[in-house]
Amino acid sequence: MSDTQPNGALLQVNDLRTHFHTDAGVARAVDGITFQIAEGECLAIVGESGCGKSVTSLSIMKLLPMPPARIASGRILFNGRDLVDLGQEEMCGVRGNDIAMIFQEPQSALNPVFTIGDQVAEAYTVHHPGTPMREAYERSVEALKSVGIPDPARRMGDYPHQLSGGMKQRVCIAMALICSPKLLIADEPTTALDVTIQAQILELLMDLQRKHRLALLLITHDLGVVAEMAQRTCVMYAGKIVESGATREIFSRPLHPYTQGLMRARPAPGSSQHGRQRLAVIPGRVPAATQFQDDCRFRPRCPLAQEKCAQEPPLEDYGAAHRAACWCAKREGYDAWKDAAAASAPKGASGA
Amino acid sequence: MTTYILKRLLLMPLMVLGITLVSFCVIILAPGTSGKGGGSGDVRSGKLTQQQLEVMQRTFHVGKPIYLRYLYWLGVLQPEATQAELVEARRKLAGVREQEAFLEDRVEDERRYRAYVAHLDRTLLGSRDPASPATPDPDLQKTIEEIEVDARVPLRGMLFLDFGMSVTTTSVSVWQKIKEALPVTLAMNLIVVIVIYLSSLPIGIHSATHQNTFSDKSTTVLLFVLYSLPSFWVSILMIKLMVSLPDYLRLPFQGIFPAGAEEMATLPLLWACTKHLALPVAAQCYGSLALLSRFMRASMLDVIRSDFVRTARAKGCRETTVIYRHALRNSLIPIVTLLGGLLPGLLGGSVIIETIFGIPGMGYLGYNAVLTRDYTVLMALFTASAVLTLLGILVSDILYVLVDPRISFEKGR
Amino acid sequence: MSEPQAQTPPAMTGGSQSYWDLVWGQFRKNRLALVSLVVIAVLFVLAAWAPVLAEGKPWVWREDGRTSYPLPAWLTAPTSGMSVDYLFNYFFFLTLTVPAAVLLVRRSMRGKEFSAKVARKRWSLGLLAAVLAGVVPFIGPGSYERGATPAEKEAQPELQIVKVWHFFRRYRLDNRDYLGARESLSKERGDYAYFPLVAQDPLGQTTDLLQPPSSKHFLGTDNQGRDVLARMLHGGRISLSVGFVAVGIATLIGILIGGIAGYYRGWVDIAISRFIEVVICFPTFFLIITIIAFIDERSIFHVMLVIGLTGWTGLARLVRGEFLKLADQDFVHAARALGCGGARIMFRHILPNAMAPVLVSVAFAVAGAVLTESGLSYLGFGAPPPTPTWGELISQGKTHIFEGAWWLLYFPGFMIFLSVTVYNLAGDGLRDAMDPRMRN
Ligand SMILES: Nc1ncnc2c1ncn2[C@@H]1O[C@H](COP(=O)(O)OP(=O)(O)OP(=O)(O)O)[C@@H](O)[C@H]1O
Ligand SMILES: [Mg+2]
Repeated sequence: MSDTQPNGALLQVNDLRTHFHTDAGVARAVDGITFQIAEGECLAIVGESGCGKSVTSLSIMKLLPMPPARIASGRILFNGRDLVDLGQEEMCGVRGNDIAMIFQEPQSALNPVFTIGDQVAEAYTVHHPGTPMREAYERSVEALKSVGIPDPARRMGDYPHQLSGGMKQRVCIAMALICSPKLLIADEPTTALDVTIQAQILELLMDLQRKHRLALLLITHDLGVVAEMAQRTCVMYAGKIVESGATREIFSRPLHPYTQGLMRARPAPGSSQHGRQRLAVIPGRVPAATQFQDDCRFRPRCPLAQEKCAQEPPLEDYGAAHRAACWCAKREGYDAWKDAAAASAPKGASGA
Repeated sequence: MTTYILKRLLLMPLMVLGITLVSFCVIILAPGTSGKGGGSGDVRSGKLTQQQLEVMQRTFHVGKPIYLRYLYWLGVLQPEATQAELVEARRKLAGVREQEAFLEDRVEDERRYRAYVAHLDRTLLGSRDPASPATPDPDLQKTIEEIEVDARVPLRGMLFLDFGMSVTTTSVSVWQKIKEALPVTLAMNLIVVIVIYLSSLPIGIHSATHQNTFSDKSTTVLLFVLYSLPSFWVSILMIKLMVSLPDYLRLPFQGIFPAGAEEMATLPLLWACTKHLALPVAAQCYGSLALLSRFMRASMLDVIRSDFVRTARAKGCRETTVIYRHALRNSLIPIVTLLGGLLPGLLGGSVIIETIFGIPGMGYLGYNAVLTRDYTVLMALFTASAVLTLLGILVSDILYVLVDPRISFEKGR
Repeated sequence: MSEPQAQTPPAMTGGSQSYWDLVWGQFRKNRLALVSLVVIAVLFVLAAWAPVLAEGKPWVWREDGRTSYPLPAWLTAPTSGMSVDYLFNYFFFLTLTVPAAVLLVRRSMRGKEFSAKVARKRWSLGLLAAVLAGVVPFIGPGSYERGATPAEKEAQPELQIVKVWHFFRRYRLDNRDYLGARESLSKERGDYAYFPLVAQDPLGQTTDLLQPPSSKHFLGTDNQGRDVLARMLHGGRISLSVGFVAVGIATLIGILIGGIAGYYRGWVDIAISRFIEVVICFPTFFLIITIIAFIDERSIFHVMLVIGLTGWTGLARLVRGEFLKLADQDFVHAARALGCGGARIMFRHILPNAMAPVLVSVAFAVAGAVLTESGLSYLGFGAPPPTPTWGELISQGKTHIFEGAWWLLYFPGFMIFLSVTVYNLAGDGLRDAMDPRMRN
């Protein structure tokens, strides 16, 4: 695959394939994706459930259970270093220090038997062995303060069950950022929270990103969040990137029918509501990862499907680094999608 | 946390009371304590004498209303025979015993025998003519028997650890018997519990962290087999093995003290005791060990898959830190609570183990009490073992709250 | 919290069928568990067939021109040896009638199409007939026949069919030593006798004390000269029946007490929970031997009863937990809104849904009960003396350990181990089959 980005990218993922070897067959959960993030940039990955977004992020961190999972091919270059070749021991030095990650469920992401303080301080001392307790403690208080936890010194002695969900996510962020990593991977950081808290957490992330020149890999279902936060966006479908480019570009001129479908499910522009969106408006579901074919994987659900779609479409550049993998992409799709959808499903949920 | 433990402690007296109630319900099932006619089967079959039956009936206050019997037995109330009378009876009995011993020593000595009988008469029946010859007096014999019965009725009740006297062994109090047996059983079970936890945790952790490898699978099979083996069978097989081994490899399998323990120095004695304990401890612990290892493995597997372990890895913790710092303590939570559930089985199992290995503990005592129908000892053992288990459960509750901060709803440590 | 599928009780609609089908499908994949089920069945059949396989009485005994049938007579006698024999002799007849019924129903349905309802009706009718047919050998007009002389028999006219029924039963049930008398049979007079496969009496004492395994006594003899193989086969009857009867009692009590606590909650729950906590404190083995010491004339049923009465606490806790969980679901509210009474809701609506975990712990409890029984028998607190049990054989082995009586240790010990293992394996398999995480 061609690589048009400048080589100064912080993280560069090249043709990554992560497969699971299960009893039911080989699940090609991530099947040849390429993207890169520059320093201080925010890249969003969107897509339905089961598209392989989490597997992508966990592959970068090498946090997948390795007997079923296997990185079949590809390179993950971080600052020029290939993470795929690193052993678990060396990866420990990268995780938390260079790349940090926060997860979807703050409720279960914190260890219930240790205090907040212990856990935040541990994130620091792991990468700074020999730090005096006092210093680790002070740094932890500072980190908690920087993520907006009131009265951080007292909170240090609390156990996770004494905190609310939003507070726990803040603690997770504090833990992730205490070693000032260059890249933060946020895997649906707000999905499990309610709406007002969501907004606060996103605000916080944007704030921190700006302050620390942090690169952010944001994984989400929520296009509203993407529009607000991400400079660039990748749309994933069934283990592949089907469209990528600048966020503004993708929102104004979605090329792939899948992206167009996602856009239709979005609340009308200008409406202030950023609620979690169900993307079920596209009929059908993502196939199971063991069932992926070698044709265009969106074909069974695509209103524009043609003969040609039996072959896998390449990811082609349509100008201004806006790329899409669809044989019909040139047909300047939004209207075409609209007509086709209206024709095929007259009773379907009405769009905006 | 303190409130939680306090609450548990406050509940203890209530639980003990409940235990005594259940014990009492079992007692009134016993033949001979349900009514006047009961227990005659034991007398007829020669297991108990009429006098022993009477001792038991007096101990459990047969013939009184049930609630009074319970309160008497507990020691909350005193039966009408006052304490002073009973104390007097005991004192007298002690005197008789002394003189009996005196008699046995010099049974041929006619003169002294006469003097003894005269003395006995004076002691028991007040002043009599000292010069009168020692004619066998049926009244005297009867009085001695009555005194003996009186003397074996508990003075204070079981709340004061006075369970009365052993029915079948004369002039030994139940408490004395238990006091001798309790430390043995306690020490052995303590060792067993320690061995169980010290070995099942590593086994479980290893199996879980090496899931589906050969060592995991073979361990699982082995543990399963161990769990299904009857302990008395294994004990006997071990004894059989020891019999066939040459002397220098053989472990002792009778009792817990070596012969001539009194003269041995501390270290050799310790070593000898360890050797004596090896077989019974192994026989007692392997079943629970297998069970606990399996639980530990399952619990560890559960925890390893959880989100916070992934978070710990994402922080950059090394695998050993992840397992032993983050996962271990969480996986211990269900294991610690198992301690309470383990104890009744261990104490019950000690009946078999102690019988086979001739260990003078509570189980052995219980076994013999059943054989000789020593009902007072049996009931006391029964109650005491329940209280012991209760203490064990208390300990496991406290350990539980130490391991899992979510139990205490207070803030801070 | 209340998901839509919780509206109807899963175990009461057609869903129940598919749930148990699912469990069974999952269970079948576990080869070890399947084998253990087969072994349990084999153990049962062996126990049911024990007298047919190993007994000192002959099937047919002809002497002086008179034929008698001591073994069939013993099989159907209302007062035969030990009391569990009655039950297992009935099982013996079931092992004959049930396969026959299965064959007949199969044949009657071969080549034809039936709706599931009709087929199910046929199957249940056929099995019911088999169960009833198993009782037939035991019922009949009293005991007049026992020991009657041929003349007396002639005097009592019978229906032909009754005659067939009582063909076997009319012969004398005696305690004759047939094995000893076998030598005195003479070919010239046309005497003959057909003995079971292992012609050894489990109770009959001989002078072959403590013999090692030989061609005469396949597994040796015990210290009273009784055949170990015969005693082991008959001992299987004790182990199996204690396991199931004791756990049956414990399960009934556990479900009742746990169900009441979980359903009514509040003070009832608190009182029952505290009570359970107290009872749990009593080491079961202590409790059992204490109560057993109280029983003057002990029988195996006392042992079952005591094991059952002392073993319900774990189940009660489990059932309580399940009921607490289920009583809050919508199908229970719906049933209550329809005006169902407490008992009906508890046993018709909640219990079927709580059955799965109960079954798992029942399997483990059976294993535990078998272990407990063998321990009691070993200590001499089990079934009273002449009764053969595995534990008692081992205790003899221990007594004669220095004489090297290994056959008294290894064989019965292995049988205990085997039966405990298969129950545990079956329970394990069932638990795994019901674990949704294992399903993919
Ligand atoms: N351990 C595993 N074993 C086998 N297959 C797996 C495993 N983990 C994930 N998969 C498969 O990989 C595919 C992608 O999963 P992934 O969790 O990345 O989806 P996702 O896009 O993050 O969805 P969501 O939005 O729900 O988080 C799924 O089809 C899933 O079945
Ligand atoms: Mg995900």
